Amino acid sequence: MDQRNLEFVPRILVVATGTSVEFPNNDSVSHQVYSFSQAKRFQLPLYKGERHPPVIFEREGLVVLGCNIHDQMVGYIYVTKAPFFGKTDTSGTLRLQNLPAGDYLITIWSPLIADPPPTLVRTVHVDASETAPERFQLTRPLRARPEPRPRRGDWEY
Amino acid sequence: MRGGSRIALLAWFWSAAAWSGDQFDVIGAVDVRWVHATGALSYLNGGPGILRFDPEHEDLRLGRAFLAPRLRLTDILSWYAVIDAYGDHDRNPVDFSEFWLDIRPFPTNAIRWHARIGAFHMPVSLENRGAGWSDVYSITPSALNTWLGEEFRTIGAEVEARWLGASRGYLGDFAVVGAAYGWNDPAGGLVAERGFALTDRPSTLFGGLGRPPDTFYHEIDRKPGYYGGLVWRHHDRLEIRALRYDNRADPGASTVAGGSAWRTHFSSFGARLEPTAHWTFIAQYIDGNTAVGANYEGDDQFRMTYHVAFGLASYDWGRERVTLRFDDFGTHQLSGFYGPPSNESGHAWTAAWTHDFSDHWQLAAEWIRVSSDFPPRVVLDVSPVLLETQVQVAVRYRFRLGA
Repeated sequence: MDQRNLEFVPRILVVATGTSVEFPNNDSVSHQVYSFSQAKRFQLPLYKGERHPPVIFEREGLVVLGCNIHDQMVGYIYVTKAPFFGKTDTSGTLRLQNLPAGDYLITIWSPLIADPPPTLVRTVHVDASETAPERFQLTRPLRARPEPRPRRGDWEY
Repeated sequence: MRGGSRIALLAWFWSAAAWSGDQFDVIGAVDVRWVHATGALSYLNGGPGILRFDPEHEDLRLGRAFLAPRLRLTDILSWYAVIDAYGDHDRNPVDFSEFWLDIRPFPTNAIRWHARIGAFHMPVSLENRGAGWSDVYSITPSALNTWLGEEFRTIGAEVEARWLGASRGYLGDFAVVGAAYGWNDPAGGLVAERGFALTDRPSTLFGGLGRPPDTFYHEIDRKPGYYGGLVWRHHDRLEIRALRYDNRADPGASTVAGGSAWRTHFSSFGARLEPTAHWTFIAQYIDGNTAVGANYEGDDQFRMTYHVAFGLASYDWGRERVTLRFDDFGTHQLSGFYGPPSNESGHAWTAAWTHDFSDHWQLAAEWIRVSSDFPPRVVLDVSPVLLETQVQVAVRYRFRLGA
């Protein structure tokens, strides 16, 4: 989970439980990354020229990241126990390949989705050697998330 | 506040500069400018004018040189300071404008605490968001923020509690801020005696403004003042602030040397909207009153109300920024008449353009025209009505040392 131009890059990271995540800092300023989410509480000062060991995410759940110096920075690490998972592309598509046949529970999540969570969970059956497209039609508009306002580096805050 | 401590602090920051890594950094800037002015002699030079420069003080001038060092003591503790030089006849050619200890614990729930202890600007200006409290939209800040820079500094402690909405899926946050402070008893006196002004010449902690110089940071009645405010930010695009200030000074208190305590309180409102990547709109308003002198017979005490406001539109693209601002200000004396009443009315137009040649070099140009009517000027043998114009072209070099 990188930090570039006062943003977390990527903004959303999906990992399996037990994954260790590095937090490099590629900005010219320091960051102090924290989370007080139940799935993982940590504080990670990221000063220039210092490296820190990766953070291990053992519990499933959503970890909201912030920076104690730059309040506008927000990032998400979605920690899951699911055997198959991924992040959609910009068109909202995710392709999971070579799934064994069986019944699956699909859950989708995004900080931009405003639909009630129960509507974002669905059970599907997958047959071997067949594609099984599943389409979630959102009923509410996505939450607005304007891009952060560009700032002039050190001279403006 | 005594002068000796600042030398010790300066030496301390200097030795800290030798520290390596990310513990110490400093932002600095030098602003040299060409000035053309019409109108009256500036109050900074002993006249009635309310701009920084005047026909007797123009051509090549030092706008400002400053250093803003920061020393990180621990993950949550840092020292900040701003050291200024303005190249005028201040009794302190180099002086501290701010220095404070900053305490910013990591949040352990959706509330983040932040405290400042020392001497610093109160959180009102929406223009002065640059390093060293500099105005990023024009050379000269509004009359409102000029006044805050001239007469006010929080010398005490401030605590802010901020609800971090992002952790709850909300794209914004909300803060409550409060402070207790001393050494602000003369605040209000300058605007009563001179009216409002538009300059980028704030006071420093130990220096003075004008001739003879007014000094500002004195504790006269041993009563602390306070302010309390609210801040709402919506996703880095909208910021709304409200603040109530009261220095709680005893208007009957004075010093042997003639310094008086001015009871000054006001309400402040401001909003900054950045709806797109290019546009910025700011509006701020202050309404309040001030009083000085013991109230023996009711009407002996000098009492005055005032209002000061501005609206600003700024457009920036690439390396350019253009800004247009309108200021409106006025005072109204209520009692204590011993001469012409301190009834000011005035307004100003400001147009500014900045161009960033690089990350370090900037060119800034500004035209400002202010019209004001202030009856006490007749004491200086000038017309109460002044129309003043000032054109400035500044070359600025900015740097950052350390991490």
